[in-house]
Amino acid sequence: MSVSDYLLLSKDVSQRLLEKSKEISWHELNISADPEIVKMRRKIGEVRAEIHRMRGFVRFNSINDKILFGYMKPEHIIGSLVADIFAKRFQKNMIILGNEHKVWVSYYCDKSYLRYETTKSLNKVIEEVKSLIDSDVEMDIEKIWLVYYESQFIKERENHKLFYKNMPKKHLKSTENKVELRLNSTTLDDYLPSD
Amino acid sequence: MLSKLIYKNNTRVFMTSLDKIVHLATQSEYDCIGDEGKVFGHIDLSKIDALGQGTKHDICTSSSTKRVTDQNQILGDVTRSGICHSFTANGRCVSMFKTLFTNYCTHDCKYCQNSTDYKGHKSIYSYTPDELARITISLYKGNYIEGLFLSSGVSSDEDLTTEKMIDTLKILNDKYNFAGYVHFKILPGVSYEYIKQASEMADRLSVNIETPSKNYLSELSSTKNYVNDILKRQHYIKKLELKKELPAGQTTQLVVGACGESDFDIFKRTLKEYNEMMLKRVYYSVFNPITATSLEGLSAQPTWREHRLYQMDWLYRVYKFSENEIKIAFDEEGFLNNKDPKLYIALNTLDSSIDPNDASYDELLRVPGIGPKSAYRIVNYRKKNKIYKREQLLNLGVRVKNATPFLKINGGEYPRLDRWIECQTL
Repeated sequence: MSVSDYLLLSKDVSQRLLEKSKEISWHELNISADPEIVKMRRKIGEVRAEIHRMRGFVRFNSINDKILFGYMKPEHIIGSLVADIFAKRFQKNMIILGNEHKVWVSYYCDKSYLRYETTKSLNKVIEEVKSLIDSDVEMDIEKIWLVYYESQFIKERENHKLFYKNMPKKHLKSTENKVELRLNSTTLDDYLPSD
Repeated sequence: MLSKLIYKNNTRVFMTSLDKIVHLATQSEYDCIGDEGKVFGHIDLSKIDALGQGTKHDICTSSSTKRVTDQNQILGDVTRSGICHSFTANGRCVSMFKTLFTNYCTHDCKYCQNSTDYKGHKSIYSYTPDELARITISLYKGNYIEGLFLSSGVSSDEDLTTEKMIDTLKILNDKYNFAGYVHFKILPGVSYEYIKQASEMADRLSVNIETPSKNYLSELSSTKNYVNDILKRQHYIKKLELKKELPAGQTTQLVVGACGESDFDIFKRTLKEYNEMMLKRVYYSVFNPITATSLEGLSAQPTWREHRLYQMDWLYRVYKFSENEIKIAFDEEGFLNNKDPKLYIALNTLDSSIDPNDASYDELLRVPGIGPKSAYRIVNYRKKNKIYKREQLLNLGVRVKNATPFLKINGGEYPRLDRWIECQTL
């Protein structure tokens, strides 16, 4: 992908910046101190960071073992790209990612992606899929994760500031990541006597 | 109907209908876990907890590897950059399903909860290879993990334990076509033949050396032999690596501060690990006493000690500082202070200011606030431009506040006293 291809994925980019980006190589983007090119670098950095975080923080549940679905509400225009990345990782599995307003579906096999996009809600699409295959068996992977995730915590090294630096609330919400958010949120209950 | 056709890098992208994709996905079955929805029905969750707890002090979470996964009919892939899928409330990355195969152990390491010295109550758990492979695949497909980090307590026969661990990798490979990341712990004393088998299926192998020398290890464990059980196994891995590259290399880990060793002792061992054993990374984990172990009365080491050791490690490995330069950062007793070692070294070695317009890449790297990325940018940018103001440096990614006291910008330079005062406030 070229610099301008990447910039197009940004949620807000001016036409002027987009035009200028067509003449810029990746090397020039990387080494320049020109304020406009630095702005481009920052915007592309934000897009890349969001793709990276979505790759890490999106969680899938599965229907019938081969259909993986998860919640994702990115700020930038990266929905189909992230769905493709997962489709390639889980070849011959159907990837459904989406939120209340938009759903991206991707399937990868033999160097080809099959894509489907809709403005229906994720729940609606999942219902459609369940009726198509006449199955609604979901696997509860989160149950295992919860136990394992808690087992990795070292009380003496508790550091919520560092947690939120690495796993910002914004991204936990955009991937509906409940386990980590719940376990790392302090509530009033924490200050009340346990009995 | 395929309504739209786009090509990118020889890969075709088709827009199609939902039911067509559903139809294709439900036809293929090569990586099915089986028993949909019932996979975890018979798994004891306390086993996952106990065996997960056994690895929480193992801190190598890197999942970056040189291996390329572009085959068809595989489940999973790997990346060069690695991905963190979660962070604990410690702020530490969780990228893999890090687990012990069994928590039964015949060693008596004084700091460990699986030790024979442990005085508290302990339930013994073990996975079966099939069970562990299924949990790994399930967490992987849920996108909770990037791969498997497999370690174990050591039973009376370390080869037998390793054989079971290798069986798990075989199931992942043969039954599920798993292509995700695998970090495999080599148990102390295990035979060359098993290390060889593991090296064929894992991205990374590691043996924990735990302490900087055999004398220190003998204070912590009477059952492990530093040279024979640990260094010899590292040498085996090195030998295998020379024949066939291990995609993510060999690593090791030390417990910092459990036996009174200095940071300089650790540094000397680190140099040997990098130069003689060709290690990719050395990890440091500060000692925290565990209740009911022999060392429960010993005080915990401050987390900053670990942080400073990592900074020292980066200066050597990434910034290519020489051994003699790094030695400056240690005090007379051989400890690092809770100060940035790069700044400390710069204050003691950079006598005159550096002009970013003509300094070499290596000289730039020695300036606090300039890292490999910004040094690379400066070297390339100045081929066509002159650097004459702070804003340019800022735009090139330099941490100007840290770097200015050491730089000559547009002919001007900071007097030494000013530089010193400013650095104290950094």
